[in-house]
Amino acid sequence: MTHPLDRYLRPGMIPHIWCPGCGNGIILNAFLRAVDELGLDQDEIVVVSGIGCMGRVSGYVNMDGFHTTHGRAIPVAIGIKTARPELKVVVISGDGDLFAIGGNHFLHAARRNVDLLVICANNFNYGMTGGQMGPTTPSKAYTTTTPYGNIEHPLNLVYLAASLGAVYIARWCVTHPLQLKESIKRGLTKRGFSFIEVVTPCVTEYGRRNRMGEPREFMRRLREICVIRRGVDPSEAVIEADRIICGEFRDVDKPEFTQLLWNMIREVSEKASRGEIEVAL
Amino acid sequence: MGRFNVVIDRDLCKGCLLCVYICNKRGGGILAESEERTLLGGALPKVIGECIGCRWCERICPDLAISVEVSQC
Repeated sequence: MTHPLDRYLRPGMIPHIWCPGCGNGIILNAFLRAVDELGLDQDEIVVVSGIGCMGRVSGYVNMDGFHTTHGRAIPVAIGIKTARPELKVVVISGDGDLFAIGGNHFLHAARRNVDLLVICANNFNYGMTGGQMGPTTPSKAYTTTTPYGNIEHPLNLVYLAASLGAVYIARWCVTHPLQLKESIKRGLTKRGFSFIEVVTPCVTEYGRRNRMGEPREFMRRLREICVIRRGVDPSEAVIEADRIICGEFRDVDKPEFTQLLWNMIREVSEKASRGEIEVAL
Repeated sequence: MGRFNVVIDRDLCKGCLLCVYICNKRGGGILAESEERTLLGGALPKVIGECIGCRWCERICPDLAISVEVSQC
C-alpha cells in the first residue's frame, strides 16, 4: 500500500507511537503536505525536535534531523542555521518542551530574529510523562498534578511571540488542516523567526481527565471553541477554555540574524585582508 | 465504481475515526464505522458510498493511513 507522502517518511518508523486521535499526526501530515506542495528538496530541510510526544517527529520524517535534549531544540537549530544558512531549519516540538523548560531559548531566538520556523503543538499538558500540569494548562483544568483544578494562569504563546518581535505569528487548531498547511508554507518561505502554534487534542491524558470524550467528540468541541479571525492584532488572540482565536496575527519583515552575521564576517575579513583592521584570532 | 477511491491502510489505522467524523461533517458522508477491529482494538472505517473527492479524510488522518486515489476511467 503506498501513500503519496510515503517518500517523506523514514522507512520502518511508521506507524508512529502517538495515541489514536492525537493531533500530532495531523501536524505531521500538514507539514509533509506543505513540503510536498512547495517542491522543496528533502536534503535541504532540517527538522529539530525536543523531548515529548512531538519530539518523536524528527525520527519519523525522512529528512535530516536532530532529537535534542529537553528544551534545547531551538539552540541546536540556531547552531545549524548559523553554520549552514542555506538550509531550512524547522523546530517542531511541544508546548512543554518549547515553553516550560526551553522558554528562555525561545525568547532569545525570537529577539535575535533567527531564520527558523517554530511549530509548537500545544496540547495543554505534559502528555508523554502522564498528563501533568504545564505552563499552558488552562485555569481550572484537571491534570495529574492538579486533581482539584488548576489555580495558575496559562501562558498565551501568541502574546509572548508578539512581544518578542517574531516576524510571522499564527495560531491554528488541528481542525484547520488546510489553513495550517498554508501557514507552514508561508513560514518555510518566510525569512526570519516564524512561529506557528497548533492547538492539538491530547485525548489520552488531558481529554480523559477533563471529560473531553473520544477523539471525535474532542474534535467537535475544538471546532466549537476555535474561531478563525482574519487580520486581527496579536493582542486579540485570546486562548481560554471556551474560546480560542485562531488566524495569522503578524507578517512583517525585519533584518535576519544569520544574514547580518555572515555579512559582518565577510566585511571584517575583507578589511582584515586589506590590513585596515587587526583581527584577534 | 466512482472516480475517486478511498484507500485505507489497515496496518497503519489506529481506529480514531476522525475520518468518519470529518466525512460526515464536510464530505459526502461515505465513511462509516465498521465491525472490523484494528490491532489496537479500535474500529476500522469502511466505505459505504461514492466518494466526492474532497480529500478531507486524507488531510485529517493522524496516522497517514488514508489516501484518495483518482481512477483513470
